[in-house]
Parts: sequence; structure tokens; C-alpha cells
Amino acid sequence: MNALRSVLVVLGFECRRGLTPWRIIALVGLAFFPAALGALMKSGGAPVGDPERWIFMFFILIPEVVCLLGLLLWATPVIQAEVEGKTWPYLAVRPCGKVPILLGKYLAAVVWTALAAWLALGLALVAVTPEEGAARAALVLFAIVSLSTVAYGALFVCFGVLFLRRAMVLAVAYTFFFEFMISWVPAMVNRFTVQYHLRNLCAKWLPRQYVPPWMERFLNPSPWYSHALILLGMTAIFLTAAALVLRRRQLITAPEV
Amino acid sequence: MIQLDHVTKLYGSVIGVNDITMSLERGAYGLLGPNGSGKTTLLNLITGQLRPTMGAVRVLDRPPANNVDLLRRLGVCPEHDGLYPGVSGFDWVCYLMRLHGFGRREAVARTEKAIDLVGMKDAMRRRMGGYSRGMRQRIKLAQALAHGPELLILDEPLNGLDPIGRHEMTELLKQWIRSGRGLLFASHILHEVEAVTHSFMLICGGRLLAAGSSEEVHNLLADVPHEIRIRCDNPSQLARRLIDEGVVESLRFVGEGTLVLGTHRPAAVYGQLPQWVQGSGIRIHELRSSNDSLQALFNSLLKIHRGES
Amino acid sequence: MPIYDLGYRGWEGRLVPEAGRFWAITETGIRLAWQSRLLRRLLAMASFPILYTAVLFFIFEQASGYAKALGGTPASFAQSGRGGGPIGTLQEMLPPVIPRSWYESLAGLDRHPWWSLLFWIFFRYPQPLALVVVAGIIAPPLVAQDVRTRAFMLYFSRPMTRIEYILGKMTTVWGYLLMITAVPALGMYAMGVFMSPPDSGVLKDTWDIPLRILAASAVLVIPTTALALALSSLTSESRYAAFAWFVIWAVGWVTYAIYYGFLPNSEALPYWRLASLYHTLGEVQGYVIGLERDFATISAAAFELAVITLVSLVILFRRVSSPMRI
Repeated sequence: MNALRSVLVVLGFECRRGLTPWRIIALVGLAFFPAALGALMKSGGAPVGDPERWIFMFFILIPEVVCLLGLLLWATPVIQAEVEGKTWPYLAVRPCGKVPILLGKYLAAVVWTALAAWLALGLALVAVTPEEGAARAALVLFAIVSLSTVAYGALFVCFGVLFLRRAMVLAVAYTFFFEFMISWVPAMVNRFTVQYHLRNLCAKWLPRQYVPPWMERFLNPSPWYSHALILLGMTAIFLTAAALVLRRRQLITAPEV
Repeated sequence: MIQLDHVTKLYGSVIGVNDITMSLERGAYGLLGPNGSGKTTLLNLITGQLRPTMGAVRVLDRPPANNVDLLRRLGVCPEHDGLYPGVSGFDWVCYLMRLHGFGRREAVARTEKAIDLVGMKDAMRRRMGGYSRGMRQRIKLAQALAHGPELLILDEPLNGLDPIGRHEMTELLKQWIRSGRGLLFASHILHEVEAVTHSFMLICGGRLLAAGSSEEVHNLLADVPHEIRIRCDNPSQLARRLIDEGVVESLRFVGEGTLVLGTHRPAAVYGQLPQWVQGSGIRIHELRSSNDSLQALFNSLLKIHRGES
Repeated sequence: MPIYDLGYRGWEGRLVPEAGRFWAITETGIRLAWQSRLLRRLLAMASFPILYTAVLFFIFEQASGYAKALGGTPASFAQSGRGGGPIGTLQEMLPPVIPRSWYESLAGLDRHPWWSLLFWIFFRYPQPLALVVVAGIIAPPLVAQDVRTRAFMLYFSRPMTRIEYILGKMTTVWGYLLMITAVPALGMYAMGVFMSPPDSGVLKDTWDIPLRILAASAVLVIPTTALALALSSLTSESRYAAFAWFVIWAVGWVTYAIYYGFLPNSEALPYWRLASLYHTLGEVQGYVIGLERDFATISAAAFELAVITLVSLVILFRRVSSPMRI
């Protein structure tokens, strides 16, 4: 119970500490981007209200762009920020241990990103309401966004612990190559990407007529809960790897070069 | 209290700490060494932030790395000023107390008490980004004390403090020692350490050069030539006179008009120098013993270790 | 007794000319960045696309020799979209997004347009990603660290101007970016020349391509470096600069890609393309390489790049000057 309490203490502190004008601006900026783009395209005559096109657009913009950018900003530097800011030694000597600190910061990153993504979804619905099935689409994307932040958050935190100084660059490179390129390869390898499972969940939760053709190409016959479980399993694996590495790492603050 | 058994720490090919063996009973110790001597590495090994490349470390009879029980009993104040600029001192210390497992009320109570002890009550609600150097040092000490540890480990705790602050901090540490709890504090300034404790360890180049009380260390240096720095208007002539009197172990010229004399007979030099210069017309502007400085102490110890004296 | 004067002595040797003082910053920046193993590995990986493009060169040279030997001409893109034999293979290997206005010049077996196309593919597809990643590693800390450590006073208390400081930082980034753009492209050109059939007039046909390669590299490298350093100068935390850098590329690319997905034939498409720095650079490079003949088509893109460069330099200059403004 102490470990859980420590996680919640860290989560609370990080959320309060993160309430700065710049973070709010970043959150609002991320949230507004999909809605603004949708509204612009709608005013330009694009058929954004068509449910299939709506899903196509906002599946890319919210669970992918907004979530990934938010986590890149808030999840990859969880440990690097403390080491560079020389605050890590004060945390590392607490009896709660390093793992609850890591988990608390992970949850804080997930909370901030999910807030941005949920707000983005709400604004998108206001700016461009699908012609039909709006409630179903919103619910599906809400769930996809939640799973996306949890899974990608764990992945980026794992990068943050493994690579420390270059975590953001490596996360970008990984995301581009694996999540956006490899996930399109119709082979076994794409099942190891978070993208593949998110697409399957989206396609399985939506009525068939709303599923974009490019999502259908990757549908597999497994039930939807297997993909959700796999995503949660991947999350657990990434967080466990991060925790194990962090326990072993010897992080000391070097003087400014 | 602290045991190190042939501990070596390597950073790649750089030696941080080199084959240190020591056993410290409960008490207060100063860790003295110049910058880059390995003090911080040694403290990091003791607090478990680093693991030794060779050898073993035990603190309060346990290995320190990832040791939850031990960390409850340690209070650590690192050298670096790693404070969140947008967070108040009170909130920060309270957060760290919560991470110690204290409930909210107890964490608040302990925080207030510790902050009061270090004299930061008036500024505790201000953001740490606006703190002066001295205020940051105090709040750092507060977070190390607040949970009531058995052993306090401080790295350069008096850095940046004004003379009044130093005095107050020194009194606080003396009070801590009188309460029977352990203290290990690192500094590169001899008189800071001597003001708090008379037991110290001297570290240089990652090696433990000497350990003991200040009297014991100075006695050790009894056979080491005493250095006297003399500034005069004719150092060459004075050098010839000193050689003639047979008090010279070593002699060197430093800058303009300054002579550094190494001698085994400092009393003779101090007593008879006025007579020696009276007839020769040499004017002495300054006479200073170099031996009270830490650097001189280390220079002497290094010479002993190298077998040069 | 001879006592030697060991006090301070002024330097009486040769001083570096004023114009070369920025080089001290460049040299140090390159050396410090080179310490990163990740960067060295990325630079090595960035050279792999050369192999792909080299294969395309080889196929083209072989195909053109084959067709001429038979006395015929291959089918052009404009007619069938797919030629037979080696030209067909080449066409299949090319990325599909080639502007239709270029098809006519590619219809024959003229070396110049085909070689230009292959270099354009090199600059367009593998190298921009490498550039984004490499610049994302090197550029963000370059000025941000100086902001954080308040190092400007250290720089400007020496006889160094702000322009020299900025030039030094920019050439640090250029050094690495040119290693993944101009240097491999010129190497490929040399390889193409050496692997061409003898007496085929390859130098006569392609003498201007090295110059176009340098110009295309400049188009790729100058505005992106200015932008990256401007972002670096706006913060003391390099990770925020890196994040802003990646956001600009990602958001721009996604914006255009989504619009294109919805309305590929829209008249507004060229304006939406300006939102994507990646596509804007590709347009201007097409003109510089010689595939796009009409400047009016790329004028908006060229103007955008010029504005990005200018605004970034102004921001950088102001940020670097800020510690000295009262």
C-alpha cells in the first residue's frame, strides 16, 4: 500500500507542478489543432462529415498525432528532466524507491496527454459533427485515445529510461519507422506495433460501414478484447522493463559542461 | 556506522575512488578534500546512488543500494541546487516527506518543524526560483533533517552561506552531534570542518590519505618540513643567509619578492629571523606559515605517500 | 642568480583573421556533437539510401544502352505509364508521387532529366527524414545550453560578434547536414559517371548536376538550420526546442496529407502544401534540380522558405543579443 500511496503522491505533485501557463498553452494548442483543421477543411468543401471520412481524419489526428506529440513532450523526458535539473538525487534517496516515482510520473504524463486528447475529441465533435453515428464514433475514439495514451505512454517512458538524453529523438524515429511504416507491412511483424492493435480495435468497435478501407486491410479475426489485452500487456512489459532498468541505473548529476 | 572494504569506483577509465578501506563508528566526521578528489563519489557510494566497481560498502550494517529501510534512516543533502523553481520550499519538503511514507498531517508537521529549525519559516511559502543561494542551502538541509534520520550525510552544506548563516548552520550541526546522531559532512574548507568536528578524513585523487583527529594529523606532519612564505625586498640575499644558518630543507622563489622556505626548524626561523636580517639591511614585508591551509596539508600528505619525506 | 620572468606575456604570434573566428565555434560544436555514438550511427545509416539510388542509376544506364542498341525507344510515362524491360523495372521502383508536368521530359532516354529525377528522389525521400532526425539531435542544445548557462557573456567578452557566433553555430549544423545531403549525392554523381558506358558523353550531358546538387543541398539545409537554431534560442531546455522542431514537421506533414486524402484535385491544394515544410522543400528542390521549369509554380514555396529563413535569423539574432540589451 505504501508503494501505491507513493505513486499517488508523485502523481498529485507532478500534476500540480505541471499547472503552468506554458503547459496549459501546449495542452490547449494540441487540443485545438484537430478541430481547427477539420473546420478549415469543412469550410473548404471537404466531405469531413461523412462518418467514414470523419473516422479516418480524427483517428489519425487524435489518438495518433495529439497523443503521440503530448507523450513525446511529457513522457519521454520523465527521468532526463530530473537528472538535468539536478533534482533526481533528492528523489532517489527516498525510501519509497525509484519505481513508484517512475510510475507516478508516467501516470502524470498519461493524465495530461489524455486530457489534451479528450478535449481535442470534444472540440472535434463540435467543429465537425459526423452526419450519423456521432455518439458511437465519439465513444469509440474516447476508448482508443485512452488506450493509446496508456500504451504509448509506457513505451515512451521506457525510451526515456533506456536512453535518457536521446529519448525524444529515438522515440520519434521509432514511431516513424515502426508505428507508421512497419505497421503497414502485411506480415507478422506489424502485430508487435501498438498501431496495429489500435486500428483493429477501432475497426471492430465501429459499424462496418464506418470503417475506412485502409483499416479493413489489417483486420484479423481475433476478438476485440484480445487486442485490448495485448495493449495492456505491452504496457505492463514496457513499464516493467523501465522499472528494472531504472533500479539498476546509476544516475548522478554531472556538473554543467 | 559506515564500512568500506577496498572500495573502488571507476567511471570508464577514470578513477573516482581508489581502494578505500575505512570503518567509522557512530559519531561525526568531516570528509576533506580539494575539488575533484572523490568526495561526492564516496558519498554517492555510501548513499547507494552508485555501486562500487570493486569492494563492498555497508552503512548501518546494510548494503545501501536500493535499500528502503536504510534510506529511511539516512538524511542526504547533495551538493547540487536541484530545486523546482515553480514550487515553494514548504511544498517541496512536504512532498519529500510524503515520499518517506508519512501521512499528510505528519508530513506537514515535520516540514514546518524542520523549516523552522533552519530559519526559513518566513520564506517557506515562496517559490524556490526566487530563493537566494543561502536560502536554498537551508531548505536543502530542511529536507535532509525533516524525517529525523539517524545519519546525516551532507555534501558542502555551507556553500553560499554568509558568515551569519555559516555560524547558524555550524551551531545546528553541533546540536545534531550532541543529540547522539551520526554526521558525515564533506567540504574543501578545513576550518568549516574543524568548527563542527575534530574527526576527519582526507581524500585526494580518489585515495584516502589520512584519517583521525586534527591533532593526530598535525602530529603526523611533525617530521614534514614546515613551509614559511616570506615576502621581502631581496629574496636572493635572504635565501643565502638562511642557507648559511642551516635551516633550509627546501627553497623556492614565487612571483616577485617572495620566497617559500621549507624547514624542519620553524621555531628557530621565527625566533631568529629578525637578527639574521638586521645586519644585512633586508626588509621583510610579510611572513606567513603555509601549513595551516588545507592545500599545504595535502601537499605534505602527498609527499609522505610518494615517499618524498 | 638568473631569475626568469614567468609573469604574463602578451601573444606575439599570428592571430586568426577576423573572418575566420567563427570557425572556433564550428570546430568545437562539431567535435562535441561527434562524441555522440547515436549520431555517428545515424550518419552511417543515412548513407544506406545511396545503395537504393545507385541501383536506380545502374538500371537506367543499362536500360538506355539496351534500348539504343535495339534502335527503339521505350514507352513513356505519358503514354502507357509502364515500359517494358529495364525501363519498366525502373518505373516500378520509382516512388509514385512524381508531378505529371515532369512526365514529358522523362519520356525519352535523355540522361539529364533521368539523372535529375534520381537525385531529386534521393533528396526527397530518404534524406529529409535523416535531416530531421540528425538536426533534431544536434541543433536543439546548441544555443539552448548557452542560454541556460548564460554563456553569451563569455562569448561576447571576447572579440567576437553576434553574427560570427550565429555563423559558427549554423556551420556546425551545416557540417553534419551536408554529410548526409551534398556529400553522398556528389559521391553518387561520381559513381554514376564512373559506372557509365565509356564515350557516352556523360560529363557533357550532366556537367551542371553537381552544381544543382549543391544548390538543392543549400535549399534543404539553410532554412532548416535557421529554423532549428531559432527554436533552440527560444528556450533554455533543449528538449522543448527538439519537441517544437518535430512538431513543425509532423503537424505540417499530417495537415497536408489529410487534405490531400480528402481533396486530391482541389485547386487549393498548392496552398495547403505550404503548411508542410517537407513538401515545400520538395517543390523548390524540384525546380533547383531542373525538373520543374516554371518558377511561378514554386514561387510561393520559395517565398515561404525565404520568410522562414529570414524570420528565424531575426529571432536568433535578437535572442543572442538579449543579454546585452538594457
